[in-house]
Amino acid sequence: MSNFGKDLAKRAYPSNDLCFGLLLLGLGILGLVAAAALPFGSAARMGPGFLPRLLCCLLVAIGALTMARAFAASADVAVPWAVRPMLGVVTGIASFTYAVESLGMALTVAGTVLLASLGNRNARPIETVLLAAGIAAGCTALFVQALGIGIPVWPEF
Amino acid sequence: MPDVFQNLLIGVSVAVSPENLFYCFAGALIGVLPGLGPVTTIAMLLPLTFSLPATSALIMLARIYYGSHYGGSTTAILVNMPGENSSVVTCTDGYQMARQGRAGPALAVAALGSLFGAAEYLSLIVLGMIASVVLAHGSILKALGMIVLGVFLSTIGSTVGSALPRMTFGIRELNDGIGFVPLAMGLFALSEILANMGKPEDRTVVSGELGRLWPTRGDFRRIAPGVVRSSLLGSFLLIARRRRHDLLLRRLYVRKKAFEGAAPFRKRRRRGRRSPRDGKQRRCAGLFHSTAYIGHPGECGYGAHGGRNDHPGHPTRSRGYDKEPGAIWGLIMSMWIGNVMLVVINLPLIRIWVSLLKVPYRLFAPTLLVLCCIGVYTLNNSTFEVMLLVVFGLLGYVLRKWAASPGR
Repeated sequence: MSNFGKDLAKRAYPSNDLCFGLLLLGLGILGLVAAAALPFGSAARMGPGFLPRLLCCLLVAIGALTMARAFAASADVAVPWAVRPMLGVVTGIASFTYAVESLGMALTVAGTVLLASLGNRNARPIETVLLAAGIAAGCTALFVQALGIGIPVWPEF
Repeated sequence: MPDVFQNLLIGVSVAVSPENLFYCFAGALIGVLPGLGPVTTIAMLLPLTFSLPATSALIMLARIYYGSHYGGSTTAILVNMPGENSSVVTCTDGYQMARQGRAGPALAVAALGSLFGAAEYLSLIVLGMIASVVLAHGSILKALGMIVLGVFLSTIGSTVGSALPRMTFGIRELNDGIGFVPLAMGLFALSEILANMGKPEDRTVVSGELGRLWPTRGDFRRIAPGVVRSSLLGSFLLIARRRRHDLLLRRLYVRKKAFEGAAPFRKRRRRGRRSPRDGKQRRCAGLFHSTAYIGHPGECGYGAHGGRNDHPGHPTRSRGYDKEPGAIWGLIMSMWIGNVMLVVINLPLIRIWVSLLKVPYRLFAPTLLVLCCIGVYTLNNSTFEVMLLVVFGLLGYVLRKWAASPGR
């Protein structure tokens, strides 16, 4: 009996199907929680909560089915995750979000490029700094001067 | 009848005047920039056109719109990133061609296909969902899950009837729903960047030869029936409000694929490429007519044109055809000339675009990232949409790992 459990776990973890099903299940439950307060109405007079709740139930069902399939079939090969690019890109764009309205175009763009390149293991340091400067200059020339977007180039001191 | 020809001649004379030709060219050049969709570009360049005479301004804006559609297909073919919504379908086929080393003909076909065109009006949403399932390469259950997820995401925001915000978790910016631009750019472009950045070796964007630029005679023979068929399928110019032209193109594409039966995907690639492109350009012309004549935008990009039409001095204020033939017919003829120009300018420039894209990915990716961020930010001046970009980029990357996204 215990062998059966271990065997099941080995088959399902970390299958793509399992993770995908879990994702759908989670999103479906989240949606149900969010849409709980909305009036449901009836099929003839649909309230705003009708479609979301229906869709979330569908999501939960499909998620559960996919997870069940993950246990039934053999696990696919897990593809390695690229964590470093994710971190680099996320921090880069997050810095863009915070800086674009306060720090001006040049510094924002340079910061984004530097942080995003940190996520790329093929990047070389001096080349990256030059790239950041180049892209910042290019974006300033193109967007602020040529196209006249209302983002200031430098922060106000 | 002779009146029409006279108007056409007036139009040609206006369109080929040196300044207007220059604006034609400038608009196309600016529009091709990747990462900025047509709406964003037009919105940014609108103030520039206030100082120009009305006809030149309209011509330049029209060229920007065309140019950005073509530029969207350029990045779609070469980098597998759609330049804007309707390039998503171009990604599917065109990128496969590029990977086979046939990027040149793919780009050339995109340029040439803009000269011919047919529009077909299919608008059932259920049909679109079935299309997504058909396109899915993976399991049908996963494809269904993705479709339901997509529809679920579209329900976020206020409803039409009650104006109650649904599932926004109190975030004010979500009251109008999730913006399509951050969603599409994140799901496709950003996830592509993330996937490529993670690859150990630093491949260039397009490796391998561009190949001959001009399609071979065999290619022409294979394309011709498709072009004739799509032209026959719908040659009516529909003056109708079509908001979801991207869905329309997707259905066109699926219909084409289903029509050809279960032929192996690679062989039919060339045929499949033409129709969505044709539909796009024809639709441009159709919507443009609706805008100019009725003063009624068929789509948001044209709303900018409509806005220009509205001040009292403007000659085309809703009765354009009669009162001021030069402006309107000049515009129409410049669209035709612009199409020819698109082919003439872009075919030789393809080699330049492609050599530009041979830069190593570590230099290319941050540039694209910055352009996407700026593009999304300037759309609504909202940093929230840039955050949405990140969220959907991560979601897209996650879905790539766990399930094939529809159409890949």
